[in-house]
Amino acid sequence: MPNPTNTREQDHVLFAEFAALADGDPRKSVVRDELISSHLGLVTHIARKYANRGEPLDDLIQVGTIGLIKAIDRFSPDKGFEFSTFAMPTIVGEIKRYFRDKTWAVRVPRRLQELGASVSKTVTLLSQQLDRAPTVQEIADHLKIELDDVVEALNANSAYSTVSLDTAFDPDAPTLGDRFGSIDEALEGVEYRESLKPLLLALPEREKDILVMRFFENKSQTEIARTLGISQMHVSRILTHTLTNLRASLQD
Amino acid sequence: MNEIHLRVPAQAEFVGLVRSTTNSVIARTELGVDELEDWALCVGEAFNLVINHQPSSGSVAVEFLLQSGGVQIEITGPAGASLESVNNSDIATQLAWTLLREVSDEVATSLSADGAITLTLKSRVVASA
Repeated sequence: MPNPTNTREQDHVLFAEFAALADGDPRKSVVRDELISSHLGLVTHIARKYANRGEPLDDLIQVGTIGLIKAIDRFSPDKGFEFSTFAMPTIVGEIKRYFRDKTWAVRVPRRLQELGASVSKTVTLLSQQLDRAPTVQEIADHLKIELDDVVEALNANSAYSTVSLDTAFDPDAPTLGDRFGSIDEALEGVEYRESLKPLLLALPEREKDILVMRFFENKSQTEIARTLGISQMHVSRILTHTLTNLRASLQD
Repeated sequence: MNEIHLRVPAQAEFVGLVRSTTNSVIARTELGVDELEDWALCVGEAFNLVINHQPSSGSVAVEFLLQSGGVQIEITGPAGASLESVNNSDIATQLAWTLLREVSDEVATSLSADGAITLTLKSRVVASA
């Protein structure tokens, strides 16, 4: 059982060190990571409160973590606040912004929205149980609904607006590209892909990384979802959104 | 019934119908749900490729054959095309081929006597089937 006083003191020491370090100092990102790890429980706690509103908990935790990173960067230990008190509004704000931005692109009946959320949860659950993506029939059997209802729900899910996929992320936060340094290397070497490089490199980091993982590193959507800690359906939406936009921009 | 046939005008606005039909068909295979949208995008790109040369005339036939837990899909464009129209080096064509090659287990191109291009896409065979 951790001693809260010690945790608070450790926090204080870490925040003091973080504030004292120069921006380019490599130690700064190490301390930042420690602070993020030690406060992820707060993000999970807050995210759980929003978990029954149709979005996967993992996605909410990821968005909440962006709020946490912002709070860490802005926190001044000298002002006498507890960090958790300071961070909570930022984390909640980030999650609320995520919900506000994720409006439906087209009008989808409430029944389908709810069914979409159930299907999304079932995909996550069965993927863990089966250690592979479930078939549509397996989802239908699990939910005791018709196969066509699952298809309808999946189509409805793809009607979710993905406009904010990038804006929901802090431009100063480490990008997926930072975490997966091999992304750009994956674009090297294969001749027929050469002409696509400028197109891909012009994409926002997040979209580029997911597209490269799927179509250049041959990872399945489920593998990408696991790697990034987001839902498979979220990966699917990002891929569809990115490719649709790419094609539209190529036709302009 | 393991064959589904769809014929739509060779116009870009019908790509959505082709994609959603593909979704419904793939849902009936033993491929994972995470391959559903991949295939919808892939068939959409194939549709765009075969109408590339004549986007406003004739029709496109899409034939789905469900087999061995997977699927074979043939997309045949309107007559009067040449293979060069699906093999040129513009970025949109390269992007389409990247998707086709990555999603399909096998891709084949053929040209009929009247110049109709057929793209044949095969999914992997599902082991449990």
